[in-house]
Amino acid sequence: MEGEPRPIDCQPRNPFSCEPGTVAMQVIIFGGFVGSGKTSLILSLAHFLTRRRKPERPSLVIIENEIGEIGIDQKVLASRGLVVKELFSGCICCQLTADLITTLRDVADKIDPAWVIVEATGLAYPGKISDSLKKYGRGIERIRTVTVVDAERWEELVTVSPILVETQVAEGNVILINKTDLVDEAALQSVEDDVTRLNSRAFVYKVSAFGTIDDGLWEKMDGRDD
Amino acid sequence: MIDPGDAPPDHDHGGPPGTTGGHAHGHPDPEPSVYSHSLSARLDRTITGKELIARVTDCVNDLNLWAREHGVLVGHIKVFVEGEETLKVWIASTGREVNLNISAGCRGTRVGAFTLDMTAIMLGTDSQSLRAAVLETVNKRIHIDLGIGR
Repeated sequence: MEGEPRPIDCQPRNPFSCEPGTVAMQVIIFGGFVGSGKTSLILSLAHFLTRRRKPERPSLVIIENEIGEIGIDQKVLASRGLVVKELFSGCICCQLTADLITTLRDVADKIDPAWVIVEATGLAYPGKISDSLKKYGRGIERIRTVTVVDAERWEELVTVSPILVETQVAEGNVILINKTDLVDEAALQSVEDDVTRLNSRAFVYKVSAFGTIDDGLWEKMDGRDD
Repeated sequence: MIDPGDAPPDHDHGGPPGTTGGHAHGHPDPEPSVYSHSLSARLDRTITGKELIARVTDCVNDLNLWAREHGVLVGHIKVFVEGEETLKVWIASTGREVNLNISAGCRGTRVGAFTLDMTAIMLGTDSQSLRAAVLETVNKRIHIDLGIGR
C-alpha cells in the first residue's frame, strides 16, 4: 500500500528453526555511500546472528565487495572470526554481477548458511543487486536491502553525488540513519524528513554504530516483527 | 558454475586503472578516485603498538588535511594493520574524526614486523594526485619515521 512501510519479499518465518539443507538462505544486502558505516553495522548484526546460531547449521557468511584493490573490510570482518568471501576490483551491481551469483550459489551448495550478508561497495545501487539475485539467484528464501545513511554528511553527499545517494535510499527496504551521535536533533530530523520523502515505504531507524544497537532492531531483519 | 544463458550479462565499463572501473551507469555524478596501498615491513627495532598506531593515525590525518587544502571530499580512508601475535588495528575516517578499532592489549605489545593495507576514496581529485598524496604520507610517517628501508 502506497505510503505505508512494507517489507519487500517478506514471508515471516524463523530461519533459526530450520533443519540443514531444508530451508534456503536469507540474504541481506547492505548498501549506502562510502563512509556511511556499513561495515561497523554489519559487525553488530553479525555478532547478533552468530550469538543465536544453531549448531546444526552455519549461521552466517558475509560477501564483501570492495572498490579498492585490497580487501580492508574483508580483513576486519575475518579478524573477528567471521566467514567472509570477497569480490574485488569491480562492482557487484554491474561488472561483477555474475561473480556474485556464482559465489552465492557456491555458498549455498557448500556452506548452506541461514544468513548471507552482502556488503556492496559505496558506489553500488543496491536495487540492481537485489534485482539480479531475484532473477538469477538460487536457494534464496528472501532478500532484504538495507541502506545505511551517513547523517553527519547527508547534506554534503546529496550535494556532491545526488543521484547515487538518493537512489540508494529509494531502493532500501530498511534505512539505517547512522552516526546519530554526531548530529543535533534538528539536523537528524532534517535527514529523516529527506529519507522519508525519498522512500516512504521503507522502515527507517536511527542508529549509531559506535553506540549500542538494540537487538530488537536486528530481530526485525528476520521479519518476525514486521 | 552458472549455466550458459542463465547468467546475467556482465558489462565492464572499462575505467582507467586506479579508478572505480568507470562505474558511471550513465549518470552525471562525479566519479571518485580510489587508491589502495599495501606494505609489509620488518623493523630494525621493536616499537610499541601505541607508536605504530600513532604513525598510521598521522597518515590518515595528513590525508584529511590534504583533502581539506585541495577542496577534496573524503569518501573514506580505511587502514588495517596487522602485527605479530595479537595486534590488529582498523583505522577509518571520512575526513573529520579518525576512528580507531583495536584489538585488546595491542597498544602495549612490541611490534617488530607488520603489514599495512590502506584504501583511500575521494571525490574531486584525480587518481594520480590521490596516489601521490597517499605515497607521500606513507613515506614520511611510516618509512622515514619508523626507519624502514634505511
